[in-house]
Amino acid sequence: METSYLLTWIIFTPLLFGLLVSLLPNGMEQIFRKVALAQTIVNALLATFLYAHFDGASGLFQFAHVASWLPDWGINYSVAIDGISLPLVMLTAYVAPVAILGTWPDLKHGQLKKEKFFVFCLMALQSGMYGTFLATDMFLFYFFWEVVLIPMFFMIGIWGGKDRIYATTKFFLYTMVGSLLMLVAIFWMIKSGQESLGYASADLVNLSKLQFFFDGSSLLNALKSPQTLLFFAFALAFVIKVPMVPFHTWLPDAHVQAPTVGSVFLAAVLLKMGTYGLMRIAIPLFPQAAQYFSTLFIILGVIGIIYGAFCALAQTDFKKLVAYSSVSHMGYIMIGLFSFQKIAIAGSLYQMINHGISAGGLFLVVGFLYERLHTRNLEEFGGLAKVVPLMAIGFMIMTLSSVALPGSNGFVGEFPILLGAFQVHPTYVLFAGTGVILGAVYALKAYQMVMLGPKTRTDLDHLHDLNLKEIIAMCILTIFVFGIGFFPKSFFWKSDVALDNYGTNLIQKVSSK
Amino acid sequence: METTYSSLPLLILISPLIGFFINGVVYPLKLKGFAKTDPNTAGGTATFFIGLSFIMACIAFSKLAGGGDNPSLTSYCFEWFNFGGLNIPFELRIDKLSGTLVMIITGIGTLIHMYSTSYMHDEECVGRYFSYLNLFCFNMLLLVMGNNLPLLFFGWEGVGLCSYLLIGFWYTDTEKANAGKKAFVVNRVGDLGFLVGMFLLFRELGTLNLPEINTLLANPEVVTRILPSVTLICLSLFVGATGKSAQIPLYVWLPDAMSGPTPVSALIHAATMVTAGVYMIARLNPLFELSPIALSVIAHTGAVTALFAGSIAIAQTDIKKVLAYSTVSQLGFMFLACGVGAYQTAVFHLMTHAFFKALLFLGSGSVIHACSGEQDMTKMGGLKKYLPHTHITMLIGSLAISGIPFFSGFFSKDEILYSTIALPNGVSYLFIIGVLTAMLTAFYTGRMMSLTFYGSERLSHDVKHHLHESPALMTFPLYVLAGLAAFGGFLGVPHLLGNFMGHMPHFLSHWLSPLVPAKELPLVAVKLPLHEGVVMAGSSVIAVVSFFAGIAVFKKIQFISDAFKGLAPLQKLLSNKYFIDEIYSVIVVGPIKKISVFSGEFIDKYIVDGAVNGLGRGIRSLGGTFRALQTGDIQSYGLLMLGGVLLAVLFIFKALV
Amino acid sequence: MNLLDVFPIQSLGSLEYLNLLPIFTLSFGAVGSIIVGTHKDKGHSWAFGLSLLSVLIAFFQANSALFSNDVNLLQGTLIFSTFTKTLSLMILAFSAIALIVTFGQDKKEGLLSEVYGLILFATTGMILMLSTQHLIFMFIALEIMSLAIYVLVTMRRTSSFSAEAGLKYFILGGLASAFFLYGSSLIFGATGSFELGKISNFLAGHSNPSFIYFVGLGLVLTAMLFKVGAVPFHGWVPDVYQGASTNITGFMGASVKFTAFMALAKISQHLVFVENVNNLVWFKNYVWLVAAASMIYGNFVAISQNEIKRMLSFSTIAHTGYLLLGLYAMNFGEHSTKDMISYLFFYAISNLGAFAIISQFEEKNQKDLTLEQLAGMGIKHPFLGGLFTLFLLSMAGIPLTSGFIGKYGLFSSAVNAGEVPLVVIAVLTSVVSVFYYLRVIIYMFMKESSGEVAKYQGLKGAGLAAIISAAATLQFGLFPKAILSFVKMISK
Repeated sequence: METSYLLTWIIFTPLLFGLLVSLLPNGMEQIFRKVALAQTIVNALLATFLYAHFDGASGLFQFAHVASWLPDWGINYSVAIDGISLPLVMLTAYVAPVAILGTWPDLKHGQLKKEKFFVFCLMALQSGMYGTFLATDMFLFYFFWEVVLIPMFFMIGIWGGKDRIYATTKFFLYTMVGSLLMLVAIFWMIKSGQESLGYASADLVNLSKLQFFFDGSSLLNALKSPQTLLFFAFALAFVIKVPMVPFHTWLPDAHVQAPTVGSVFLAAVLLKMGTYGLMRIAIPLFPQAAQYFSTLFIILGVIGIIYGAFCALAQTDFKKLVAYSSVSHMGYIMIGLFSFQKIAIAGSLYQMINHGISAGGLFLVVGFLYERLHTRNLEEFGGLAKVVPLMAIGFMIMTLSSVALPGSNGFVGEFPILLGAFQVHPTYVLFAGTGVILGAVYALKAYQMVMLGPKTRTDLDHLHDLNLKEIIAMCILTIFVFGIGFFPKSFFWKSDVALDNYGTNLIQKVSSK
Repeated sequence: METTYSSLPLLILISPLIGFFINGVVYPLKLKGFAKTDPNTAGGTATFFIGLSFIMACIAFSKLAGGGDNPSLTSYCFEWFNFGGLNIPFELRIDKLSGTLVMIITGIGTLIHMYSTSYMHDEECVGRYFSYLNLFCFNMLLLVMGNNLPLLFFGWEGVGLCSYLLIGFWYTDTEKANAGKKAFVVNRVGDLGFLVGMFLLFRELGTLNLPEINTLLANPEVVTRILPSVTLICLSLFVGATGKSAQIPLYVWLPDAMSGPTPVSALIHAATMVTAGVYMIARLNPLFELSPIALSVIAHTGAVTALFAGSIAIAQTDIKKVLAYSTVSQLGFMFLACGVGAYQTAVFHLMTHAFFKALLFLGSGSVIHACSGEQDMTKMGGLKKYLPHTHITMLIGSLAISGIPFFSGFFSKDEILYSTIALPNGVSYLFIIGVLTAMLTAFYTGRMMSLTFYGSERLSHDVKHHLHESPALMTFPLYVLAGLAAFGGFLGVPHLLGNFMGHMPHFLSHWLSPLVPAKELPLVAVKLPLHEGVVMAGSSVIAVVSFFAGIAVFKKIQFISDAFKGLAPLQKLLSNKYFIDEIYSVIVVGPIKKISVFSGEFIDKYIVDGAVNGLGRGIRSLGGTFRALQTGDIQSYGLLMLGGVLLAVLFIFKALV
Repeated sequence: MNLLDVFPIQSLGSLEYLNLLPIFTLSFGAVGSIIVGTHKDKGHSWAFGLSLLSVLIAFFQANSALFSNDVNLLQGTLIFSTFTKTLSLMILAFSAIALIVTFGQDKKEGLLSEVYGLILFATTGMILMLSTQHLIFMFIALEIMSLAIYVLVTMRRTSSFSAEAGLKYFILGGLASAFFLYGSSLIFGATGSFELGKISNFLAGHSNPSFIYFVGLGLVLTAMLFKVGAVPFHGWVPDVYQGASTNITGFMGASVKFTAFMALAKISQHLVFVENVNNLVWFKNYVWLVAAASMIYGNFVAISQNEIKRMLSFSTIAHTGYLLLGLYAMNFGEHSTKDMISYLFFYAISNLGAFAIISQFEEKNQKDLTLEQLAGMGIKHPFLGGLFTLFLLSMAGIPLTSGFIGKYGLFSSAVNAGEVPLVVIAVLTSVVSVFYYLRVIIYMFMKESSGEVAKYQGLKGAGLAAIISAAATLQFGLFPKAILSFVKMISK
C-alpha cells in the first residue's frame, strides 16, 4: 500500500463501506451488521499497519497527505499523524469493532429498525472521528468536527429512548454554539495569518507559528487581548465537547437516550475530540492566554471531578451514573492539560485512551443488561453475579479500570496526571484526589446494586450470560485494561518523543512571555 | 550476590499469580463453569503455588543469611513508567526486611491455604475463593518486595481489592457485601494520603525508588533542604498507614471485615495485610526519623488505638469481633513502637503477632466450624473436652498474646513497653497506656478462652449434636502456628535474659540492623538490669494475673456487668463500640448522601440544566413576541417600511449635520 | 436636456446582437409559450417544452458569448461583461429548474399555462436588471420582473389567500418602486445623471455631495432592501411565500433575491463606495442595523413557526441579514461581492430544491404544510426525506453542503473586514436557525406520524429538480474550488 495515502484510506474506508451498504437492498438487512463489522476490522488492520510503520523516534507529523482543496482560501485537504493523534486513532480503530460486537442485535426476531441507515450512520461517524483526529488543516478539522454531529444526531434521535428528541437537539445545539464561535476564531486566525505570512493558509503548522498579542498585566487587559478572545473561542467549543462543568448537561441526556453503540462511541471517542482539540489547538496556539487562565480551568476540572462523582452517586439510572462518571473522569484530563507540566500532559493523553476503554466497557455492560432486562434502574437488578458470572467479571474489570486501581489502565492515566499536577497545584490536586475516594464509592455502589446482594426479581434466573460476540468484545477491552496497566510503556512509547517536544515547546513558549 | 538467584523475587511473586490463573481461568474454561471446580483440586493447586513460593523464599532467605552486610536479591522486570523525569521500573527486591516479611507471608500463607482447603470444603465455588487468596498473596508479596513506592502502592491497593473480594465472598448477603465495600472505601481514604505522600516526596526528592530515597536521605544537604516539608510527607504517608492498618480514625472497616471467611481474617486481617502500614514505616524509617512531630503523632495514635480497641474487645460476644479488636489493639502497639523509634521492635511484634493472631483466628475458625457456624461465645462454653486440639493450640496462642513469660508475645510486647520509656522519643504516659493495654489484652483473651472452652455448656442442642473436632488438615496448621507462637519470641531475646542465657543475642535486631538500625538505648549503659528487670517482671505479673482473672471471672458470667451492676452503662458503651459507626454515619456518610442527592437531583436538574433550558425557552418566547409584529395587515407593513426609510433619512441627516 | 442625450441612438453590431440574443430568445420564447399554451389539452406540455427550450437556448447563447469583449449599449445603459453574463447564466439556471418544478405542479394547482411565459418574462427582467448600469433602465427592468412576479404569485386563482398575497405584494411593491423612482430622480437632480458610472465620476469630483443626493440614495437602497426582504421591509415576505404556489415561491426565493441583491451591490458600489466621499458612516450604521435586525428577527420568529413555507420565509429574511454582512464588508474595501454571489448561488439552489420537495407533499390549494403533516415522512420516503434534509442542512450551513461553503466565505470576508461583533451575532443567530431546521428533520425522521399526513403527490418535475439541486448542493459543498475561483475571477 502506498503509505502516503494510508491516512486517507483510514478516513474514508468507513464511508466507502457506508455507500456500499446503502446500495444493498433492504431485504439483506441481516448482513448489514456483518458488513459494519468487516469495515471496522479493515480499519483496525489499517490502523495496526499504520502503528507498525509509525516512527516513534520522530516527534513530527508523518504519513502527511496534502491535496489542494480551496486554494483561494488557503485551505487544503491535508492529513497527517503524530505521536499525539496516534493513540486516539488507534483507540477509535479498536473501540469500533468492540462496540459493534458488543451490541450485536438479536437478528432472529428481525425487529431491526431502519438497519441500513443505522449502519450507515455508524460508518459515517467513524469517518468523521478519524478525520477530526487526523486533519492538520484548521478548516478540515472544523469540517470533520461538524460532520461528526450529523450521524450522532440521527443515531440518538431515531434509535434513542423516549426523550431522544430533546436529548439529540440539546446535543446538536450545544455543540453548535461552541463550534460556530470557533469558526469565527478560525476566520480571525486565517486573516491574521494572511497579514503575517502574506498568503492565506489554514494549515495548523503555519497558524501555530502566529504570535497573538497578549497582555497579562491585569485581568482586564488579559481579557481584552486578542489571544485571550481566540483562546476562549476555541476553548469553549472544546470544553463543551469534553464536557467540562458547567457545560456538561447535554451528556447525561445524550447518553441515557442514545442506543448502546452510540453511547460507546460517544463516551469512548467523541468526548476525546474535545480534549484532543484543547491539546492540539487551544493550548499550544494560545499558550500565554491558556496559562493565564489555566487556574480557572483546573478549578473547573476539580469541580467536575467532585461534582460529577456526587451526581453519579445520586443516580438510580445505571446509564446516567456511568455518564456522570465520565464527567468526573474527564476532569482529570482537564487538570493534566492545564497544569503545563510534562508528566501530567502525558498522563492526560494516556487518560484519554484509558477513559475511552473503561467508559466504553461500562456502557457495553449497561447495554448487555438493558438488552436482557429492558431496564436501567439499578434497584431492579441485584444478585446477578450468580446468574451471569461472565458479565460480572467483565463488569468488575471495567469498574477496577474506572476506579484507577494500579495494574489497570486507569491508574496509568490518573497517577501521572495527579503526580505531575501536584508539583504545581498541590491544593487543587488534593481536592481532585477526593475523586479517587468518591469514584470508588459510586463504582462499587453500582457494582453491588447490579451484581451482589439478594436477587430482587424472580425472572432473573433464566437470564443468559454473555454470548460469544460479547465475550470477544469484553476480552479485547480486558486485554487493553491490563496490558496498558502493566506495560504502559509498550503501548505509549511511540508518543514519548512527540509528547516530550510538545511539553518542551509549550513550557518554553509560556516561560518566554 | 549471584545473578542466578536474582530472578528469585520475580519467581516468588508470580508463582501465586499462576495459581490465580489456574483457579480463576483455566479450570473454569476446562469445566465450562465457575462453581464446578472440585474443592480439593482448587485448594491443592492454590496451596501448591503459594507453597512453591515459600520454598523459593526459604532459598532466597538462606542466600541473604549468607553474605554481605546488607545483602539483597533484586530482579528488574521491565520499565513501568518512564516519562518526563518520572522513572519507575518494575523492580523487586528482597533484603533482610522484606525477606522477613516474605517468609511470614508465604509461610503463614501456605498454612492458611492448607487450612482453607478443608475449612471451605463444603462451600460452593471454592475455585473463586482460592483464586482470590492466591491473588492476595501476589499483591502482598508485591507490596513488600516492590522496590519503589508506586509499586508498593500497587500491592497496597491490590491487597485492598482482594480483601474487598474476600470479605464479600458470600456476596448474596447484603451485609457482607457492604462490609467489603466499606473496607475498600475506607482504605481508599487512606490511599489518598499515601498518594499525597508520594507526590510530596517526588516534589522534594524527584524520585520514588526506595534505594535512591535512602541514598538521598543519607546526604545532609538534601536533608536540610527537605526538612520543612518532611513532617507533612510523613503524616500523609501515615494517613495511608492508618487506613490499611486500621488505626484511629480509619479502623472502622476491620471489625466489619470479619464477615469474610475465617481463614481470610487470619491471613489478611491479622497476619499480613493489616501490618502493611507498619512495614511501610519501618521501610521508610530514615524518612520518619527526620520528623519527631510525625513520630509522636504515630506513637500517640498507636497508643490510643491500642487502649481504645482493647477496651472494646472486652465487651464483645462474637469471638471473631474480639479477635478483630484485639488485632486493632496489637497494631496500635506496633505503631507505638514505630512512634518511639523502635522500628525493629515493631517488626518483631509484627512477626510474633502474625504467629499468634493467625493461630487464634484459625482456632476460632475451627471452633466456629465445629459449632456449625455459630460465632456467639455466649452460646458456646465448655468446648474444651470436645475440641482438645483446638483448645490446646488456642490456649498457647492466648498465652502468647497475653504476654505470659517466654511465649513469643511476651518478648515483643515487653520490648515495646520498655522502648516507650527507654528511648528518647518515649514518654512515660505512653508506657502507662501500654501497660494498661497489656492488662486488657490478657484479660479479654482470658475471657474469650473462658467463654469458649471452659465454664457451663450453653450450646443449643442440634449444634451440640454436630459438634466435632476439626480434621487434621485444619489442626496441623494450628500446631505449626502454636509452635511458632510459643517459641518465635526467642528470635528477639532482650539483653537481660540474653545475659542469663549465655549471652543469647537479639537475632532479629541484628538481622535487620542494616536496614532498621536498632537505637542505642541511652539508659542501657546506666542501670539497665534493674530497669529492664522491673519492667519485665512487672508486666509478666500483670499479664499472668489478668489472664487468669479473665478466665476465672468469666467461667460463670459473660459480662463484667453481670458481676458489678454499676458497670452496666460501661458495658453498653463498649459492646456498642463507643457508637463510633453511628457517629460516622451521621457526620460522614449522611452528609455525603445528602450532598450527592442535592447536586444530582437539584443543582444539576434545576440550576445548571435549568439555565440551559431557560435560555432556550427564553429565545422561543422572544420569537413568539416578535411574531406579533407579523400582523398580516398591509397598513402595518407599509408603516414599517416608512419607518425604515425615515430611519435611513435620520441617519443621513445625523451624518451630514 | 432632451431625451437623445439620455438615450442616444446607436446602431448594433454583431457583437451587440450576440450579447443581446439571450434576451431576444427569452422574450420570443415567452410570447411563443403563451400562444402555444392556449391549446386545449396539450397546451401546458407545449408551453413547458417551448419555455424550457428557450431558456436552454438562451443559456447556451449567453454561455457562448461569455468571454466575448464587453459590450456597452447606449453609453452604459446596458453593459454585457463576463461578470453580468455569468450572473445571467445563474439566473437562467434557476429559471430552468423553476420551470421543471412548475411542470406537473401547474396541473395540480390548476395554474394556467401562462405561468411558463411569465417566468420567462421575469427572467428577462432579471437579466436586464443585472446588465444595466442606468437607474431608469434599472427601474424598467425591475418592473418587468416585478409585474411578472405579481401575476405569478396570484396564479392560484381559486384560493383567496393567493390573491390576497399577490395584492399585498403588488401594493407594497408599488410603494417600493415609487421610492426607487423618486430616489433616482433626486439623485439625478443632485448629480445630473442616471448613469451609475457617470454619477460616481461626478461624486469623485465633488467630495461631499448634497443632502438631496443622499436622501435619493437612501430611497433607492430601501427599495432594493424591500425586494431582498430585509427588516423592516420584510412584511410581504411570509404572506407571499405562503400565498404563492410553491414552485413560484421557490423561484422568487432564488431569482428575485439574487437579482435584487446584485442590484443592491451594484448601486452601493457605484453610489456609496466612491473615493473621497467619506461620510459613509450613516450607510455603515444603517446596513449594520438592518443586517442585525434581519438576522435576529428572521431567525427568532422562524423558531415559533409550525408551517414550513412560513418558517422558510422567515429564514429567508435571516439569510438576507447574513448577505447584508457582505454588503457591510464592502464598507471596508473588502471585495465581498464574490462571496455574496457564491452565497446567493448556493442558497438559491438549496432553496429551489427545498420548495420542490415541499410541492411534492402539498395538496391542491393547500396554504402550507405543517410540521405535523411531515411526521414520519422521512421514514416513508427516505430518498425525498434525505434530499430535504440535505437542503435544510445547507441552509443551516452545516458542512458537506454548499450552504456551509457560502457561509464560510461570507462570514470570513466580514471578519477580514474587521467586523467581528456582527459576525458573532450572525453566528449565534444561526445557532437558533439550526434549531428550527433540525425541527423539520426531527419531524421527518424521529416523530411517529400522528393524525393526517401529507400525501406524496408524485410530481416528476419537482422530483427531477430536487435531484438536480441536491447534486449541485453536494458538488459545491465538497468541491467548490472551481466555482469559487471562477466567481472570484469574474468579480475582479
